Amino acid sequence: MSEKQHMDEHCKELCNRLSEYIDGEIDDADCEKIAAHLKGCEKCITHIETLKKTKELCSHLKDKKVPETLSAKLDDFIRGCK
Amino acid sequence: MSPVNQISSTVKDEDYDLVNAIKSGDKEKFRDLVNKYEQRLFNFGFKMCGNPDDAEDLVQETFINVFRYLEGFRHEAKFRNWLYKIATSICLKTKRKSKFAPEQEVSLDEYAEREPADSSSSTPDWAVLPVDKVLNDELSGVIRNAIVTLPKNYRLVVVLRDMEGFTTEETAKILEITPANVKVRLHRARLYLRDQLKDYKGEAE
Ligand SMILES: [Zn+2]
Repeated sequence: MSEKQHMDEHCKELCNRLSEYIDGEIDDADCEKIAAHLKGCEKCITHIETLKKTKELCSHLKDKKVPETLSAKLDDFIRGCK
Repeated sequence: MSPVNQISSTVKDEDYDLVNAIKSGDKEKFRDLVNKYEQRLFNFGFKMCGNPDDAEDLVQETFINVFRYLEGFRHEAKFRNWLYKIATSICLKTKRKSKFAPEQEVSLDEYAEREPADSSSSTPDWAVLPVDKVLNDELSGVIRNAIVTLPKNYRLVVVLRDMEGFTTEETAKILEITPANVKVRLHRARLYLRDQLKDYKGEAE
C-alpha cells in the first residue's frame, strides 16, 4: 500500500468518528490518535472545522415566536380541562 | 445486587413538584406546564415540520396527550424527556408531508463510508467566522430548509441532539433506539447538513 493510500484509509476511518470526537464521546486512546492525525492532515482539519461549525450553527438557530393562534388554542384547551 | 439496581427509578427533576401538583388535582398548574414548554415545543415542531401550521398541530396534540396520560407518568425519566417522547411519537405517526419537503426523501447511504472532502477546497467563510457574524436570516433559512429535507429518522436525531440539547443516551431512550444508532444517524445527518451549507457564500457578496 502506498503512503497516499494509507493516508486515505486513515482519513476515512477517522472521518466516521469525527462527530463522536467533537462531542467528546470517544475514549482517551482514540482521542489522542485522532488529535495526532489532525496535526498532520489539512484535509481532515477542514473536515472537522466545517462539521463542528455545522453543529454550532444548528444549536444557535433563533427561536420563532409562538403564534398567537396557538396560544389561544392552548388557552381554550386548558380551560376545558377542568 | 449491582449498584445499578439500587438506584431509585424515581427521577426528581425540576418539574417533579409541578407534575405532582397537577396529578393531585391542581389543574390550574397545568397552565404553568404549558407556559413553560410551549415555546420550546413549537420550535421543535417548526424544525421537524418546516412550517408553523403543522408545528401548531404538533404542540396542541402533544399537550392533549400529556394531559390525558400524565396520571400514568411515574417519574421514571425527566418530565421533559417524557414530553419529547410524546411529541416525537406524534411526529413519527404523522404521515402528512410538509409542503416544503422534497418529493422524494434524500438517501444518506452515501454518507456511510465517507471520505473527507478534497483539500483543494479550503475552509469556507461560514465555518471560519464566529456564529453571530454568519448566522443571519438567510443562512438560518438554508439550514432550516436542509433539516426538513432529511429523512425523518435522521431529522429527529439531529434536532433532539444538536438543537434541543438532549444527550446521546436521552435521545436513544426517547426514540427507543440504541445509543450507537443515535451516533451513526447524527453523524450522517451532520455530514448531510454540512454538504448543504458547503456552497453558501453569504449575502455580502
Ligand atoms: Zn486525514
